[in-house]
Amino acid sequence: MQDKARFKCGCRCTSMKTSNNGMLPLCEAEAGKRLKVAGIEGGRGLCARMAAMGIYPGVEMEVLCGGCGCPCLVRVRGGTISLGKGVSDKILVTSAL
Amino acid sequence: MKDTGSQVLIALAGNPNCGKTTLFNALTGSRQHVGNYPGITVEKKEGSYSLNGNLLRLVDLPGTYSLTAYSLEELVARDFLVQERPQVVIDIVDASNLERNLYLTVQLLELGIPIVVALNMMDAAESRGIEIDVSELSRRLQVPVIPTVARTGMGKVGLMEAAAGVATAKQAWTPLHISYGPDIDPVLDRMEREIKDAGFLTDILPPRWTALKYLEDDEQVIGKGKETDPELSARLESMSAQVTDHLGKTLDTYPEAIIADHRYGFISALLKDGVMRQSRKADRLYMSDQIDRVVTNRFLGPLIMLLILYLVYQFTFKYSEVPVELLESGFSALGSYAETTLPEGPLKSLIISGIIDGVGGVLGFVPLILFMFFAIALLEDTGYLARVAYMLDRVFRTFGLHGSSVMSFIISGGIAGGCAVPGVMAARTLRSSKERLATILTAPFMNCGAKLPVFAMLIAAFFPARHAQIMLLLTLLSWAAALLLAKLIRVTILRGPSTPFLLELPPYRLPTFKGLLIHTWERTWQYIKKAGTIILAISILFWALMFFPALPEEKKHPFDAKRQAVLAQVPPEHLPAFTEGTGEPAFTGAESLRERLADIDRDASQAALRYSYAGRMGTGLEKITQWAGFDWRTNVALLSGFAAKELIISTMGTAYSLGQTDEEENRSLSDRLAGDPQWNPLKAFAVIVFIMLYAPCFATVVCIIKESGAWKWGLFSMVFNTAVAFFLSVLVFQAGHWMGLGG
Repeated sequence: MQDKARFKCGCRCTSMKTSNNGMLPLCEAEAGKRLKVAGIEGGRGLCARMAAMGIYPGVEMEVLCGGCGCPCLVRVRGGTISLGKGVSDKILVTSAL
Repeated sequence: MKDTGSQVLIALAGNPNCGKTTLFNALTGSRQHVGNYPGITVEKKEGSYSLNGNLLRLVDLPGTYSLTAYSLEELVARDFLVQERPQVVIDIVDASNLERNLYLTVQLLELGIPIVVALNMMDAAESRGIEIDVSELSRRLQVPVIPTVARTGMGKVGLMEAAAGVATAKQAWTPLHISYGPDIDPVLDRMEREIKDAGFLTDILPPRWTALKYLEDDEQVIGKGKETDPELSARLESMSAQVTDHLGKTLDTYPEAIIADHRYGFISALLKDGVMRQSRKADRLYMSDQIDRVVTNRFLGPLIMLLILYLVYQFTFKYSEVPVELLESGFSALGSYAETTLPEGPLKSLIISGIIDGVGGVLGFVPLILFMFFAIALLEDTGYLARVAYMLDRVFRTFGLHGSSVMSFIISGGIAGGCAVPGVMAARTLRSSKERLATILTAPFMNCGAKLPVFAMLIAAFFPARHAQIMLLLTLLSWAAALLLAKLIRVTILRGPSTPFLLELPPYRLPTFKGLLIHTWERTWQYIKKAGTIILAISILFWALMFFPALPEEKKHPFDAKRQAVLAQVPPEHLPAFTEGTGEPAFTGAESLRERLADIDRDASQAALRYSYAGRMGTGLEKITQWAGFDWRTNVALLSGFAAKELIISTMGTAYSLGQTDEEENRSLSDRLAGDPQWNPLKAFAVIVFIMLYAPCFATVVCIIKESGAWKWGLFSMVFNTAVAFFLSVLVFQAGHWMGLGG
């Protein structure tokens, strides 16, 4: 089913990256998964801007589209937000249970 | 009675895409453009609403997510609230996306400014199965909450009554206190106390709010604080730094995250116990996502985008064909009528060549522009344009721009038919000044609505069978030029890193037909107004430049002598019939004599035009422009395009009708050019390339100067663009010639 979602998004990964403690940057996450934001690296300004749009540590989101180092589309708190790669690789996520 | 001092001032605040501009239009009836992407309302828009005979002043603030100065819009919105202190703020929240929208509401409450909440898009919320207990929400927020549907105008009277009620109550600002937990609260309290004791900025800002801004590292507030009381400001900063440091070490987080977390916590508490319920009928909510899966697909997305752009052209050209022809023939008929009825002289020339041809050339394309704007409004209002920005961010990043640059480009004419003036202004949404400047400088390369008629005319003359295909090609060309030149600018005079891309995509919406018509009409009307005033005036000015000074007698003389020589060959008994042109002169060789006379007339009028001011300029430039295949008449037309691109066509019309004295039918300009031996598809294409890229019109140049804050950028765009345009059109012309094209 996840394969299907990935295919729908048109993205095929050559290699899936995972780090040791289960955290990975959002830009590497698979489409169709529910994820939880574990942390945000990067400047305070960017973090705060994201917080205002509903993305901050602890929040759950669904990756609609993206992964594998591409820009992505996430659904968070009822809104659809698009993130460039420069933003999505700063968001660390873990899978939500 | 109603002096402006006592007039009630109401501000409209809300997230991007919450329907704020739609509501503003519904309230004020003002004719403005409503877009579906964030940032369109970055300018301050004003209007008024009459409630029981009292005029309420309304200001539409830019759409923002927060009141911390992270973006220009937020800064503008906050400055207005703090400086102008409106009696009441109408906070528009999207009922179908309540949680996120209330984030701004909470910040307004923390600021303490009196607010009324407009619970907008109630219809969308209902269709998603969201139920909201309005009276309970109002009780918990302790502000009036009025359900509205901006698209239909539902609830607007109630909303304004509530707003006027709050405004007349003249409440003092009463800031809301939210607990930010054990890590923030103690230091926040301490900071608040220090601020209160020192009276630090308390004339305009609530103490706790100022403290919060210090914790949120708000550059603007901190900057202002430094000016007011450097010592206290430094103390507050160090307190904030301590907390930030502590949070980073112990929790691996930062104050903003904790603050945001608690604000959202406050919001979920607000909405608990059935204030907001969502039945699991949420399929519709995800319909937007399903569409996005296909439409923004990495492979399908770009194809769909190209297809949509192509359909826009097909739609525009197919449906506008008939009315365009009708208008054209109407103006032709008017011209012929003037030709036969008016007495010879400068006035006749002015009316036919200056006014009828000038205005006709511009108005003749109104249907085309009308259809084009309709298509663009459709793309904007459905929400598709934001997807285009998302999909193109990667591409734009490669060229040193930002995904949001696409809005500037599209408004400027990225989907042919925009205008560079609002396009340049739309670049205000960009944060990084370098990306912004690069966008401002390259947006005018797009095919604006004024270049379109010229292209359409040349295409009709030289590529009649491939209307839509050529237009698509031209669009792709202008994009390529804009992107490559942006890259050039970004690696040379504007070097620097890119800013992150973060954009909310509005859910797909079915636009209202009325809304589409309003948008279409507004833009078309602007075009007509422009055509009716500036363009007519400048069209006349250019007619004068081309009509004066008249050929001096000694230069007219050789032509008269030649005419006499021809007439001498006419047998005397046939002379009256020959000169008057009545009846067929029955002698051998009459036809060839007539042709020789016509040739002389053509030469004479050509000489007259060359002798005129405009002709002299055009002729002077011929030495250079011949490399691109432009003759002086094209030069004259291009010169007029500096004033406004719309004028190219009317100047060309004037130039060609002046240059032809033989009594042929008053054919449209494109037919004339198609029949002109000096023109061919290659030359036409070189001209198109030049027009696409050369110096923006004066209005745009003024805008560039205003937006960039420096004269040099306006000047730069004129010189740089013209140089690039000339280089490329020479390249096209010479390469085409070398390949044996164009004859």
